[in-house]
Amino acid sequence: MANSALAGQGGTMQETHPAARRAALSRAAIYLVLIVGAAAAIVPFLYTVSVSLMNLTEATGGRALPATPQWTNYVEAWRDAQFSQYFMNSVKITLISVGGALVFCALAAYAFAQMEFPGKSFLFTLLLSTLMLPEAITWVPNFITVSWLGRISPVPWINNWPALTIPFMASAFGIFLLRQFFLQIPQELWDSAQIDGSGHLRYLITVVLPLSSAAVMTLVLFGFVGAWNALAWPILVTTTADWRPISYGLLVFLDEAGALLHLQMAGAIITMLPIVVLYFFTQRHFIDGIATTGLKG
Amino acid sequence: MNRNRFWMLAVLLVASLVLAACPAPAAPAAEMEADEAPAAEAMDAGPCAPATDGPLAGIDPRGQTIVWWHQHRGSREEKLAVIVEDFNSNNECGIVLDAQNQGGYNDIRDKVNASTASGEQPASLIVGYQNDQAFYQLNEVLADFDKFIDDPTWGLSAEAKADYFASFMEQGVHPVFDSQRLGFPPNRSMEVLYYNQTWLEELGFSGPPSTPEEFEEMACAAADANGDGTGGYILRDDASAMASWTFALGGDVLNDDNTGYVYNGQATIDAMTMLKRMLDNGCAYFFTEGYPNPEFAARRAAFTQGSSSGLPFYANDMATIAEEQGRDMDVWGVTAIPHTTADPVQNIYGADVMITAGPPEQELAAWLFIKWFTSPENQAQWVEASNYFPTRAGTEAHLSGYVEENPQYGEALALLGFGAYEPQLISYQAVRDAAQTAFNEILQGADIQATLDALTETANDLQEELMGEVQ
Repeated sequence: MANSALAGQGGTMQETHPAARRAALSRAAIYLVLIVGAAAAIVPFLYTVSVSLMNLTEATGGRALPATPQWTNYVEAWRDAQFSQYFMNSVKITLISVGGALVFCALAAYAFAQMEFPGKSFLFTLLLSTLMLPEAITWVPNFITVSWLGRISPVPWINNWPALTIPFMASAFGIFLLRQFFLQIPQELWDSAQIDGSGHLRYLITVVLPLSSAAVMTLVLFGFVGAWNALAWPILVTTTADWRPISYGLLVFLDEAGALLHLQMAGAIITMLPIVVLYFFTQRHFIDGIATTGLKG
Repeated sequence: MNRNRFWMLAVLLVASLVLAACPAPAAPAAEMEADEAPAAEAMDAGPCAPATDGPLAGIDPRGQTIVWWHQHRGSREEKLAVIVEDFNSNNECGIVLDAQNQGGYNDIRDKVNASTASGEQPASLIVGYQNDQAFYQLNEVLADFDKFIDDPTWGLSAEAKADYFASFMEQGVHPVFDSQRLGFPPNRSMEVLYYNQTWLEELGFSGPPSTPEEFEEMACAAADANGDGTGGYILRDDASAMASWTFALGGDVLNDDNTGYVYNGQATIDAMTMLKRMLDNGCAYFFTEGYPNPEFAARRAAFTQGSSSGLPFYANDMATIAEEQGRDMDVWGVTAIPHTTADPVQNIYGADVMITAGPPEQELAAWLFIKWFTSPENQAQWVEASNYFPTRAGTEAHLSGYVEENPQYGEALALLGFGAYEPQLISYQAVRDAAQTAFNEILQGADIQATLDALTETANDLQEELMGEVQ
């Protein structure tokens, strides 16, 4: 009896062991892939930090760690790249761009999600198709447009905030992101709002947007990163430093002879900090936004 | 999103729009002063009065404001600003130059193309390579320098013309555009061989190599001394290196009438054969983890090859690493690429300045600045600020102190008269990529003759395709 019970127990263990082993192996494989992925993401960042603390010879010689950390690199980078001026420019450009993007993307996304009008599907498909265009292809047409608008507008566009911000206030990606979120809001809320006498704009502002904070924060973060890191377009539409962004400051460390890599990396860390701080505060909304708008693969 | 957060967002948006409504920065003072200058200074006679005869007769450059889009940054930009200020304060024509950094060469190219597409004139003066000039001229963006250079009133004297290094001046002449001179050299850099004199002497050699055979022997000796795969020559595998070796071995990568490519000439084949042999024998190696200068400074290479503009970086690394290793700094220098020709043939390169087609007064004012900027005295000032090479032989007389302080610069300076140049054809940017790919394939074992034949064909196809635009 005891023997048969033990045999039975042993049989059960033999039956469950392979499954448990498979699960453990599977988990180990997943962790391995995640560790490799995390390392691939974090190693370049750590290397940037390391190089930012090296002297020039260490930085250009491909070393992994500085012999003695050169903390003054950060002070030197800030001073040489004139970050004080460019930092404020970037703050202004980013605030205007992100603010504008919130307004225009929300309005357009609401129309595509909640309203019926002729050609809606066609227009939305057309809008999405612009996502396929490489950014560089749009530079010349956009430059021609802003040059022309600058000629007919009372406010100069080139060398001024309109050329740096307005072209990015209605991005196809932002409209798509918000529309996907707005589509999930129950129709009953709109019916109730109508009974309360609400129109579309009031419904958007008082009901839809507050319910869509995750998507809005995701748009803010993407818009912030895009505006903060922009370089090619700002150089194209500015000729003086008056409105140039912080990323332009990094160019000072790069010339035909070579790069002052240590200062360039210190500058890169400085320019990266605001994005890291913003992500820290919006991380939960950002993840919710990505997870609930169909953007997650 | 709760109500508080919504209102915070709304306030942020309003604040950003209020910020945006702030007026645009005022125009630079210099620009405003320049606008006022013509009225105050307009005269019918004087050192800058319009010419009464010649092709530029009646054109008045006085009081013009011209903008220069350039790529100089950092301390070089600061020192350029001092030189420009000197021009603005002292030129007799009351011309005001506004020198503006516009990023790198690619950024400037994008700006010129965008301006042209929108029907606007780019800056009066722009910087770019010779193949850029060909691209721009498809839309007739540039002015021909010859009309200024040869003008009896505003041009260069015969003596001044002869003082410019001929090979530098030839680079801006485009046979495919009726031999117009579309670019003018403000400065140049040179492909040089860096060598460690102290180490060579320890290995039993008296000085740097002058022939390919000597070079190979010395590199192999240094590699043997290290015995770990380093020590010899760090390979440089781009199109400029390929052209440099071809020139040094008596060949060219351009055909006789400068309208097409010849990458399969005997000199290129011989050069590739030698470099492949050196790689196979361990006398040369690739260093891809960083820049070659720290390797050179740490005696992991007796030779490296690169632009003379890297001289300050080498100087810094030689001193830093010697200090780190607690030894005296090695004596080092730069020399010509080892050659089979009687004299060295050096690959000399660099961007040109170009005058964009616009109002004749602006074009002339832009030329007068270039003429001033390339005068020996001002070139000497620019050389000391930038570490570039001057474009006029007469500049050397003003550089004795600088050469004394920078002996390696002096070694390279002595080679300026032996210049050759890379193609200025419209397709050269794409051909450079193809040449680098072919160079790498050869070093990885591809058949040299077949690879260079294919490169030549590809390069000429690219040229033909782009020139189809001109027709």
